Amino acid sequence: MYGYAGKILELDLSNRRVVFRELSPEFASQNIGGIGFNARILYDELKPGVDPLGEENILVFSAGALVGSPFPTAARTEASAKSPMTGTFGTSNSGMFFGTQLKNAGFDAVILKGKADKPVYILISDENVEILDAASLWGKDSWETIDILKARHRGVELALIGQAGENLIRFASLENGRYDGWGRTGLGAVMGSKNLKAVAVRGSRGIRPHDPAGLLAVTKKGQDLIKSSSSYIAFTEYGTMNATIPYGKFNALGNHNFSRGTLDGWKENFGKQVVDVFSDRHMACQSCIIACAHWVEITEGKYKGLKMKDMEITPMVAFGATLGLSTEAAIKGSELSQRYGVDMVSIAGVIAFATELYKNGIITREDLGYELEFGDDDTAFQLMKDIVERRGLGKILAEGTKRAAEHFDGAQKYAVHIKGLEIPMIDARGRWSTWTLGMLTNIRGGDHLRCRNPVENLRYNENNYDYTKERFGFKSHVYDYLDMPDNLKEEIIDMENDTVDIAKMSHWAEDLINLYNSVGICIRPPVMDRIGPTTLAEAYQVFTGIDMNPVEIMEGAERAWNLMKLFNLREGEDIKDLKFPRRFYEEAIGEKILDEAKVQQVLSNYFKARGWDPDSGRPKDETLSRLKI
Amino acid sequence: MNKRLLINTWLCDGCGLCELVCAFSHTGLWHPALSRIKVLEDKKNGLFFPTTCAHCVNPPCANACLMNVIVKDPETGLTIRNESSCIGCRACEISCPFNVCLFDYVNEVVVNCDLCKGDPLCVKVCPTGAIEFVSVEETPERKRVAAASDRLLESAQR
Amino acid sequence: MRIVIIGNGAAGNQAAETIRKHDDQIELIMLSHETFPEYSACALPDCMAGWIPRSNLFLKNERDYDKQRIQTILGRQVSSINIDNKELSMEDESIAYDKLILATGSRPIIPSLKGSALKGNFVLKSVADLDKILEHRGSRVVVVGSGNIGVEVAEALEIQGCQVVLIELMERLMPKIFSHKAAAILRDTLEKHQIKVLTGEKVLEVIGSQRVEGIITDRRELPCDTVIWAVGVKQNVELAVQAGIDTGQMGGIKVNRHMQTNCEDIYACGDCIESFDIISGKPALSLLWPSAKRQAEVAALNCLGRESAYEGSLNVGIEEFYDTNFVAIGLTADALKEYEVQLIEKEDSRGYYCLAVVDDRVIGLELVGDCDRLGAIMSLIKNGTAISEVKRIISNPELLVNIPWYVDAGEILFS
Repeated sequence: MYGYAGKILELDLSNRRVVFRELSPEFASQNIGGIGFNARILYDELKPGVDPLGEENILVFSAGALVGSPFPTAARTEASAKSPMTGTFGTSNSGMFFGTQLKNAGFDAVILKGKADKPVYILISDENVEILDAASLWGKDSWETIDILKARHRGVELALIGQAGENLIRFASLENGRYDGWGRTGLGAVMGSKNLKAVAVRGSRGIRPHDPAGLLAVTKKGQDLIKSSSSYIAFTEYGTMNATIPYGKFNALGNHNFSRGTLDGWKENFGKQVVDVFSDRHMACQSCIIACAHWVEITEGKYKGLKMKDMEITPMVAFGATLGLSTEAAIKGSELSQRYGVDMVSIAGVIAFATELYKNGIITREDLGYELEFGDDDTAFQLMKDIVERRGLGKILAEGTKRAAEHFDGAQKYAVHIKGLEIPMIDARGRWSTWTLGMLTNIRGGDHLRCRNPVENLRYNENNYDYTKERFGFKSHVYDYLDMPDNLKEEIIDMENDTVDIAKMSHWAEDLINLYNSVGICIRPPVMDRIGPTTLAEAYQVFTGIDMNPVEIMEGAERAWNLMKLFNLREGEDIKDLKFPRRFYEEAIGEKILDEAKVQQVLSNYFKARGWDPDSGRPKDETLSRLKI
Repeated sequence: MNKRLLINTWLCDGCGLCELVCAFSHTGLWHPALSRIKVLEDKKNGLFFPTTCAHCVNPPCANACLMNVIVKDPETGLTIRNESSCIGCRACEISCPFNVCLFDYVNEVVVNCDLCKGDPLCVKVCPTGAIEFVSVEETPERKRVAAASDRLLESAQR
Repeated sequence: MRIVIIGNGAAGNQAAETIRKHDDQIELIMLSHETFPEYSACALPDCMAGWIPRSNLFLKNERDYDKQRIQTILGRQVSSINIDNKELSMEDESIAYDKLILATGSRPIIPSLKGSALKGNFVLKSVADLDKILEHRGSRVVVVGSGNIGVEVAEALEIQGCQVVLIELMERLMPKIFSHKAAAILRDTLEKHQIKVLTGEKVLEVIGSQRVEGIITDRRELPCDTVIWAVGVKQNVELAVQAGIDTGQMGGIKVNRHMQTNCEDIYACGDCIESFDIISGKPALSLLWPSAKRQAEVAALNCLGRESAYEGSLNVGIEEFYDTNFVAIGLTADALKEYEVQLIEKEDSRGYYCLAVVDDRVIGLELVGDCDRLGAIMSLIKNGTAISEVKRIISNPELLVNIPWYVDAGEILFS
C-alpha cells in the first residue's frame, strides 16, 4: 500500500492476543485516517452502555493519513475511547513523533481492548509486539517512566500515563513523550483501567508515496501557502501565546473559574511578551515549518531550574487565568500536569471549582486541611496532589467538576463544564463567535479545539451582534483565497455586510478540523487559513494513490463527525446536555451575559446547517444516506 | 567544489524534515532511519543537533574499510565510496568517531553524506536555516567573525 | 631513489599508495609470491558463502598498478636480503633498493598431526585456498578453531549446505575476543542454525587413507570429508631473521614507532610485525586490516623522510553471524585479567553489551545485537577519554553543542 502502513494492530490485553488486521483501500478511503478511523472503529466495535473504566472500553490510536510524509505539520495522531468524563465519544489529538514511529513500525492504528491482569506496557518494534511487565514503572510519574523506557528501548516514542491514569482520575491524560499529550476527555484513565502503563513504538520501515514527485510538489505548495499566511511570522515568534492579548481585551479569559471578567496583571502574566522572558528556543513537531513550541527555562525564583516545553496558551490561561497563578507557577502547573498525567484544562477547572466552593463556604478548611485561594500556587498544587492520589476531598474532585458538584449542596452554580468536560479559555460571555458556539456543539463536550473559523478575525468582540453572525473584518483577498467551494462561501460570508454566518461556518469548520485530524495536520492559524480540502485532497492522492477530490475528502470528515454524533446519541446524549454553565446565563462579567434563547436559536440554525433535526439534534436519515452511513 | 554543510545548531528545532528528504531522495522511502543526516536530541534541554559526514581529510572510515571502498575524491575533497564493492561489514561505521556512517539496511551497504551531488536537499528543506551550504573558505571566516562579535557583546555588557 | 616493497596485501599496497600520494617520481617495485593482484583476504568467507562474486574480491587490477606506476614482480619468491649491499636476491636476479618495506604478512598454521597432510585439509588465507576449498566440494566439514576466520568459515559453509562441526580448544567460542556471556550467545546463534559446536575439545588426528575421512578428538571420533584449520597464523619473518633483522618476543619483526627495524633503511608493517596495543602499551600482534594499513602509512611516510609515529593498534572487530552482530573493541576477554575492571553491563531487547572500565575510562567493549552508533564509544576507548568528562559535557548544552555525538556515547554509558 502507498501512503498508509497497511495494517492495524489489535491487542486484547485480557488474553494477550495480538492480531494484525489488513487495512483495506475501501476502509482507508472512506475513513481517511486519524479521527476518521477511530470514529468508524468505535462506532462499529464498542458496545453501547459499557463502563468507560471497565474492561469492555476500547482505546484506539490512529495516525493521520499524511503522517510519514514531509507535508508541513503532518505529525498528528488521534486517540479515542468512550470518555470517563462525559460518557460519550472521548478523543484527543497529539503531534510530535509518535505517529511517525507508529506508521514506520507498519501500523496505521492500534486498537487496545480488554484489561491486563497486572500492570503491563506494550512494546511495538516493527512487527514484533510484546506485552511486558510494568510493575517497576507503576507509581512513577510520566517523565521518570519516559527516561526508563527510552533507555531500555532506544529509539521509541511513547504514549503513557502518570499516576493520575493509574489511579483512574477521570480526567487523566495520555502523555506523548515529554513534549506533548492527548490531554482531554480522560483517555489516561481508560489506559489506566486496562492496567496499561505505556505504549512504546519504534519503526524501521518507511512509507512509500505513490507519486514521489507529486508529493514533493504538494509539500512545497503547502509550505509556501503556510508561509504566505498573515499569521505565519507571529506564530513562529510567539506561537499560540499571540491570542492572549485579544482574549484578554475582550474579558474572555475565564478568570477565576469564569467568575471575573478581568484580572489585575493579566497582561504581565500571560501576555505574549512573557515568551521572551522565559524562552529563547523553538521546537517543532515532525515535518513542521512553524515550530510554535517554546523551550522554556525558569532561571530564578521559587521554580528556578525548571526546563520544559511549555508556554502554550491553553495551560498558561488555565493556570494563569482560571486559577489566577503567576507565570512561573503556571509553568510549574504544566510540569506537574505532565508528570502526573492530567488534563491541564480539567485539573485547573476542578481546582478552580474547589476554590470557589471554599470561598463560598461550601467546603471548609477542615474538609481540605488547608485553605484555597485564587493565585495561591502552594495550595493549588497541594490540592492537585491530593486529587491525583485520591486523598481527602481529592477523592471526590478526582471525578471531575460535574460529578463532584453533585456531592455538595449549592455547588452547581460553580460547576463550569459542558456535558461534563471542563471549559478551557474563552469565556463565551466575553466573546461570542464560531469558536464559542463550537464549545456547545463539540462532540467531546466543553472544548475549544474542534470548531474554529479558518478565517477568524481576532480583532473583534462579537457580543454586539445577534449571536447568529460574527464580523468577517478582512479585505476581499482573504475571501478570495479561502479554500471553500464558491456556493458555500456565498452562503457563509456576506462581504457586503462584512459578516460570517456562525451556524454554517461552524458546520464547515468542524468538518474541516475533522479533516485535519484525519490526515494528521495541525490546526494552527497559519495552516487553517491557507490549507483546505483542495490542497489536502491533492496531498492525499499523491501520497496514497487513492483517488480523492476535495468534495469527497470533506465528506469523509463530515461522515466521521456524524458517526461520532450517532455514537454520542447511542450513549444517551440529549439535546438538553448542550448547555453552557448556568453562570453564563445568570452572572454577568462586566455587562455581558449570555442570552439563552439566542444561543438556542443559533444552535438550532447549526443543526439545520448540518442536516440534523433541530429539536433533537439527531442526524436526519437523508443526511446519513447522503454520507453513506 | 569546495562547499560543505555548515550546521547552526542553535537554530535546529527538531522538525526532522532534513532526515525525511535525505532518506527519500536516496532510497525512495520516507524513513529517518535511512537518512545520512541524523538529528540527535538532548531531551533535558530541548536541544537538537543535526550531524552528518564532515568529509575528514584523513578519514578513519577509509582506514577501516576491508575492501578499500572509501577514498577521497581528488577534485572535490569529499569522502566517496564505491558502493558496488561494499560488503556491508560495518567496520567503517564503528570506526567513525562522529557516528555519521549510515548502514542502509535496504541495500545492505554503508553510506555517507554525498552532498547530493552539489545541491544538498536538507539545506533546501530546512525551515529555520540550521543547515547551510557554504564555501570552505567562508566558513572559518564566518565562525571567526561570529566569535569576535560575541566577545564584543560580552565585554560591552560587563 | 628506489623503494622496494615485499608483499602485495593490505600493508604493501597502502605503503605504495602513501608513497605515491606524496611523490610520484620515486621508483616503486612491489614483489609478491602470489600472482593475484591485491585482494581482500577478509572477504574470502563472504565469497565462500556466496554473498559476493569472486571478482569482487580483487581490489586492484593490473592497470591500477600501471596507473600508480608500481612495477610488480609477481609469483616470485625472494630468497634472501643482503642488508650490507642493500640487495634482494631471487632465484635468478637481484634487485637493489634504497629503502625496503617488509610487508610479508603471515601464513595460517596447520599443526603437524597425523593425517593433516591428507587431501581435504585446508586453510583459508588466499584466493588460491578458496578456490581449492570450493573445488573440493565437501559436504561434511569440520572447522578447527573459532577465531574470526573459523566462525566465518563455519557460517559460510553451513549456508552453502554443508554439515558443519566447529571445534574449539578453549572452553568458549572466540575466546581471545569475547568473554563468557557474548561467547554463549554466539554459541546459541550457531547451534540454532545447525552448526554443531564443540568446545574444550582438542583434535588429535585426521583419519583417512587417500583423503580426509574423519577426525579424532580427545573425546570422540567424527566422520567428515573436509577439515578447515583456523587455529592461528605464523608470521612470515624467515626472510628478515635470515637477514639479521631482529624479531620481538612474540615472534614478529621488531620495529620502533617509525616502523623501522634494527636495519636503518628497512621498515616493516602489517601482520609480519610485532605491534603494540594502543591502550595497554604492551607488545601485541594486531592481525587486522586497518592496523596493517595504518602501519604501512607510517612506514611509507618515514621512508620518504616525513616524520610519522605509530600510535599503536586498537582491536576493533565487527562480525555478523546469521543476522546478529557481534562487536569487540579494545581490551576484552582475557586481556582484562590484569586489570581491576568495573563492568557496565546491559541486556535488553536490543541485545547485550558489556563495557570494561578502569580508572574512569572505558578500555573495552563487547556487544551483541544492535550495533548502531558505536563509533562515539570507539573513540572514547581509543583516546582514553574519561567517563566523567563525557558526563560533564553532556550536562552542559554549551559544550555539548560542539560535540553532539557524545549524546550517543551517553546513551550507552549512562542508561
